[in-house]
Amino acid sequence: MEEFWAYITEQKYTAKNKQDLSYLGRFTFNTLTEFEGLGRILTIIARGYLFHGKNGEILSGSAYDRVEYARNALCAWCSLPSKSEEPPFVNFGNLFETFPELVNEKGEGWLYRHIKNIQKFAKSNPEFISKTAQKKIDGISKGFVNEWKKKLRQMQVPIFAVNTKATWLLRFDDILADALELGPLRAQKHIISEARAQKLSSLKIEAVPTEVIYDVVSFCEANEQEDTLWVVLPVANFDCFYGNTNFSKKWLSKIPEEILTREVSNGVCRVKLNI
Amino acid sequence: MVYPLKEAGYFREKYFSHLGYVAMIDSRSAIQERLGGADYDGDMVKTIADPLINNCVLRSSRMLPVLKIPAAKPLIADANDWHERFITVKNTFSSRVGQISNCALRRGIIAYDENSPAEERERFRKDVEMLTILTGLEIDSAKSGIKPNLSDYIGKREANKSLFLRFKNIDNDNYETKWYEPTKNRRLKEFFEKTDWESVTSNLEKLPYYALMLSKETEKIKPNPQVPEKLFIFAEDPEWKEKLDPAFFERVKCLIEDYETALKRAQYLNHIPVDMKRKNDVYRILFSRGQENEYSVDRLYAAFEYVPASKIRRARRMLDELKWHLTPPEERPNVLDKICDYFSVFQYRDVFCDFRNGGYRILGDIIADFDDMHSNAGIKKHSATKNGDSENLKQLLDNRYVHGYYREDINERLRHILMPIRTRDYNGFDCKETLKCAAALGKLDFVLEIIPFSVYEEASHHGRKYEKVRRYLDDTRIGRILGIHHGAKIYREE
Repeated sequence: MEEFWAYITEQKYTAKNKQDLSYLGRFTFNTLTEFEGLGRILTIIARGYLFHGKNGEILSGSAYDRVEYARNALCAWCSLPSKSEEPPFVNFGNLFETFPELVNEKGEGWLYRHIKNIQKFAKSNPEFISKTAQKKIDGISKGFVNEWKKKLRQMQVPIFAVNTKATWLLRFDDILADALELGPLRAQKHIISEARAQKLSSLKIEAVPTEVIYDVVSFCEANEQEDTLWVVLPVANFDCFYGNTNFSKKWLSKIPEEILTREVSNGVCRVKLNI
Repeated sequence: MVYPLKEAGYFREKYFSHLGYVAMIDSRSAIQERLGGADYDGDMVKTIADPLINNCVLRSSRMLPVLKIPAAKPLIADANDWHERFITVKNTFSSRVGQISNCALRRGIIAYDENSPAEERERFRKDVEMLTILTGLEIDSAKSGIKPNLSDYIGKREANKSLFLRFKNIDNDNYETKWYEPTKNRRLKEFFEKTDWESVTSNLEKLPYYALMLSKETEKIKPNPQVPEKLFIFAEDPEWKEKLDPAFFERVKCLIEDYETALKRAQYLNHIPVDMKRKNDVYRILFSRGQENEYSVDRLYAAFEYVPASKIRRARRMLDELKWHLTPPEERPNVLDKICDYFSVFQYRDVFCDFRNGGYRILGDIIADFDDMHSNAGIKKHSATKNGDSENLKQLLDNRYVHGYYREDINERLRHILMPIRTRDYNGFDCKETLKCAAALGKLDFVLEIIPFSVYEEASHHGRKYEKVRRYLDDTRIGRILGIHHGAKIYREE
């Protein structure tokens, strides 16, 4: 649930120094430019609206009956204030009354407003923005609207459309199907089993912060399947959680084999706990 | 500077005069040591005869230094120690010659800049000489195993980053920029705008700026292809076009149109994809679920291999109509039966009904791939030849590819049409007359591609007539003519 609130409520834009990227919220530059991890973010938002009420309570009835409602929530979140359009549309200002937290009357969706606020923060607080970050923010400022417009139109193409040759992974149909399969959001943080916690405490690993190892093991335990030991690790979203790319670039490869085995194929990273 | 001998001498004339592109250096001179690396066993060198460049070198130094690369004792390693064996092999690949070269360039820019202070020039000149020696040692390190110590040069930024190298990196970068990155043109524009070119003293560093100014000040060449009157003997007659046989002209015109149509259609058909491009997606899903060894992608695809095209198309429509991806778990087996009630699919029911990690896509991917395959096969079958196509066009689009590349096959078939085997009712084309008609139509490329020998026979050069030639060709002239074909233009002489 914590992730869900992070992606639909108002953000605070602050930073302590140039290395602090807190003003990005629960995003990294890779997520905003390459859209890495965006599928999982949208799936979390979809799960929130399929299974939960405004205060996070679990809703009664079948989530399959709320598919259109969740789809509208996704459209609102992604909305762009574009004036004249042809279908597929990108301006969902008409959903303002149903989802006031996600879109305003002008059609400015949550993500669009977040990007604009990052730009404003960078402009008024240059002392907290490094040269590299400034270049990226400049690049995003120039091209985000056009790129996101293309992405949003692509996301609305039905998954099994007869005339499409495309094999995109990011479509609203995929996101809703995944959200239905995953079910309601977890309200409490998963606590590692005692046995594993004891084994972990006896290990001394200097290359990786202890809390990172605990987070990974906790994630794997919480997402274990009955018929397989493998768990898909959302690496980009771990980066978003930590606010930088240290997880994907430094720490993950240094987690020793005695804790987990890692394999990567076709852009999917899966891990298996050995502890 | 080296100069050729005024007289070669009797023995040199007798034994070496037949050699071409060979420079022989007196073994008693210091030239080969200046070459740095020449070891008296023959080598390839680049000779520069341009007086402008040679004068520039002379201005910098009258006496070229003799740099002796010290011979180091080779490193002895234990061949039975796997780690030492690995390090020996690794040293063969890790070469820092590029880094040394960049360091030398940065220092050389200052060392050979007349406007630099004399002290700096001398200091960097010595550095450049040392780096030359280090280059030799680095190259030898693959054999000797001894890596020279470069810590005094690499990693220490004593000379500023070269403007020339920065420009070269931007200009040579052909990587496709992402939407949030500045484009190559933008980076070049910023590079030129942000540099204070007035303060740059080195000519090498200023080269990119000079190149930019030159391109701005130089008028762009407007290509003006040469007319047939300047190319061919027959076109020297002002009435050559009127003398063409109208019926034959029409025949050639239709043949050229058929040829161009055949090429366009074959090119379109050639680019229709044939591979099942969603197989990777299916594998990705199985991998995510840890099932890639339990279920083979090819076997899942094989379950649909013998399903007729019409049923596949129907299944694809039903996936969308029944919203397969949004089917609740308890309804999935029934919905699957409605979409595809084939026995071969039944055995994989568990795989198709498992929606974890995007599993709903597996059925859709397989059906879509087969549907695309059937659809493309239909396009290929019906687009190759159509009603109303001439006999020549049908012959050109014969499906049997001999050479494996459609253009060569079509060209070969066209040559058979132009020059079939001589029989009593020979219906071939007169190549000379074909050339004339093609020239009148402005279709020289057609003739150059198919019957270039006819072009050669009729080509004129600056108004001179050539004698009739024997069977073997003059490579220089045909190369010049084929140069037209491969993109060079002959410009109108003013």
